[in-house]
Amino acid sequence: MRPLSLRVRVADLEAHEVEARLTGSGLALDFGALRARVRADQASLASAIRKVYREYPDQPSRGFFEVNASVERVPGIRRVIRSQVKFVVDGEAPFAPFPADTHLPLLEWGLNWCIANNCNQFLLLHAGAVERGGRAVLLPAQPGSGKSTLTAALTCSGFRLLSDEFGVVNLDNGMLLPLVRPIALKNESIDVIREFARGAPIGPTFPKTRKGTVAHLAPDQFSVDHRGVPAQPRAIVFPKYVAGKPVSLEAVPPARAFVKLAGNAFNYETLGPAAFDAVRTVVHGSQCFRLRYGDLVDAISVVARLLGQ
Amino acid sequence: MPDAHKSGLDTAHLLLCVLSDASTVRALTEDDWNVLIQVARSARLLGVLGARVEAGQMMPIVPPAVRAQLQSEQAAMAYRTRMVWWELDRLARTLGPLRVPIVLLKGAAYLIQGLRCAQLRSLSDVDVLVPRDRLSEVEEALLSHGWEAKDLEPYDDRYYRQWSHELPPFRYGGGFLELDVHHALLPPLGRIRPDPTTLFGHAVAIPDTPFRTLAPEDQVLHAALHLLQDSDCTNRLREIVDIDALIQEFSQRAGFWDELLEHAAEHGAGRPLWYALRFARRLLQTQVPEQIQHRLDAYVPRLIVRWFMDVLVSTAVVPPDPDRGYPRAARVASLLLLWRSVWLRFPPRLFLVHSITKAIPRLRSQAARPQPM
Amino acid sequence: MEEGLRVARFDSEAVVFNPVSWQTHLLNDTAVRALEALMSGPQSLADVVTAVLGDVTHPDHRVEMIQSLLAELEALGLVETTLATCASS
Repeated sequence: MRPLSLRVRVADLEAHEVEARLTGSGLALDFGALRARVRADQASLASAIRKVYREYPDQPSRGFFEVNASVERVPGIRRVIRSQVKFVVDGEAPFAPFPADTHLPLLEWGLNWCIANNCNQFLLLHAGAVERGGRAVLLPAQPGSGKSTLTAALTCSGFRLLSDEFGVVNLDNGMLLPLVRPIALKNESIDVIREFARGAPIGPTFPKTRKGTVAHLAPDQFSVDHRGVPAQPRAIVFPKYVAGKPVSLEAVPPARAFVKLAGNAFNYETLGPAAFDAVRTVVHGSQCFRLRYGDLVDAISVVARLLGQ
Repeated sequence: MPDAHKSGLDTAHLLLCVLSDASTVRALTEDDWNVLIQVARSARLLGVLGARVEAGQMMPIVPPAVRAQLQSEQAAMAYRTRMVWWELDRLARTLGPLRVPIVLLKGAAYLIQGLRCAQLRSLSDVDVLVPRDRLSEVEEALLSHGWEAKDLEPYDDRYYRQWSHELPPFRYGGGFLELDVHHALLPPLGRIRPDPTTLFGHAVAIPDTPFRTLAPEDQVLHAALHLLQDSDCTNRLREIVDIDALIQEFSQRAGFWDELLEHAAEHGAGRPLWYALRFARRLLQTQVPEQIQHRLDAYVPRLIVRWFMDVLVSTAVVPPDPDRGYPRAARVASLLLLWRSVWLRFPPRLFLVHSITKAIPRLRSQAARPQPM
Repeated sequence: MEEGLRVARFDSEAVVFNPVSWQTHLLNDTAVRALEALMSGPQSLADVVTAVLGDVTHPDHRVEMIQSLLAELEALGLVETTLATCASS
């Protein structure tokens, strides 16, 4: 028996309790800007979810959820021979199945897909975002940027995680809304973060995904607890990881930053003028830079300085 | 309000209730909304749901997070509609000079007529009807003005050109909208073959454009035929919502019902019309005047057939249950209705060839669905 | 200048959204000044040249540059030539 507590987290639940929610009416996950109700029928996925969503409050699976999704075993022969799982949302499976041993990456990517396609009440930038001292920095995603690794390292260094994948912008006021989710680390990044932050809560490793080896960093308690607190964007930093390179920070003309942010967003085109206005607000209020770095510690201290610390 | 978690039919019932009468949302809990939004989205009726809630002035009582979701869909549908207008504009400039009669079909037609049912309606393609003898001219014009033909397997390409009533789909410069160019409403060897010349004869010109639309009666017939002759009826509530909306809009016009029956008789489409109105009445309480229903009953099928169709269509037509997916009964019904639609498309000797050859490409295409990243 | 054009000015550059074409454009300094010259209402070519290049006599090639810039802006639907503005200076 557990004493009654107002704030039970997923980590406080027994494994069988998490499984019961996932196979029953679902596990409620409150990311901040939106909520998801997740179901799953494999014990190993339940265990992985329990690890990477450990700090999330155990909310009842009642009420309205922006995303209702599940990861289910594919029936028939695919249950036995090279077993597969499928991502199901709104009663249907929009993608081809994945091998059963890549279930958590499938869930995470599937949730991303749902958010990117169905949440046009926000402007969704393709960027990481962290906050400290009431000021937020956007880290737009580009190939070779090491954005996720940098975002992960920042959150392990006292920065509040707003999001790794989606920079969620409130269309009315240009503020960044948290969408706190586990950070997907790929290949070498996994060990880099393990080294950088000993004891960082990294979930199970999935070696055979389409993007190589993937593992997820669980968001910390502080970030999860403050998922309802928007942040003012003050800096836009385009990161570029170059091994061995000393850190350098270069100003980017704001109009260029605008165009890059807009070009990279998930739904800029769809939202048209509303998106233009939101990006204008974000860029007007921010300093824009390109950051080249070979060492995470240097990059982090540069970002800290930018945010006035 | 029924406990909406019971079955596929119940969740569809919730959606149909709200679509028929927006004030039903007064009684909805957040749990109900959660189910309703999922069902509407999967039935591609989320935009229409939002439009009806707004038209019924019920938006203020919708919970904020739900309202945000409806507004999100509104933004998405507004964008799609804009894309369709651009496509129509480009089509007008490309095909206009050819002076070929172009009849817009379905969604694009509803849009250009400014029909209420076009509001926030989900569109993923533009369908046009052109005379068969002008097909290659049209195809050439499209290909040389920025449209690309979809890359198809040779069997599928041959299938389209030989047996189908439409060309393989086009896409303008990598956009997501498909352009389907038809030369008939239904496959040319099918059991019902509405005569394109008659359709063109009754078509209505849209001023200041090179486009026409089918006569209102023919639009209703087309929707009925499309559902009953050309589809497996699976998750097709949307088509029935269209039929109901078209009837509501057009039945105000003098002579509409008489013309509808006349055209149905002319095109041999009485039976599909009978079915379409039956399901529309059952699901959305579409009003059909008694004397019209009486005349329509001339097309009533044999009891056993009627019973089969009732069971199969009502089982297949509803969207999947959000948590449970399609029940086995629905999957079976869909398969039977799919065979029915293929059967109706071909004379018997071709049916078997197509069935076998098509089974293999279908299995292959299932493996090629989109990836989440 | 197109009605309803949204302009975000940043130092010497600007980003512009055209609600008719739904396109977003990045404009350099010269283009911005040309567009701003037209914000208060239709201008003659001479006025635009003055606003952008300054109030001195300009060699032909520079005037031509402004002319072709305006043609580009027109192609993007951001500005429109009316008969009055066609008058040469």
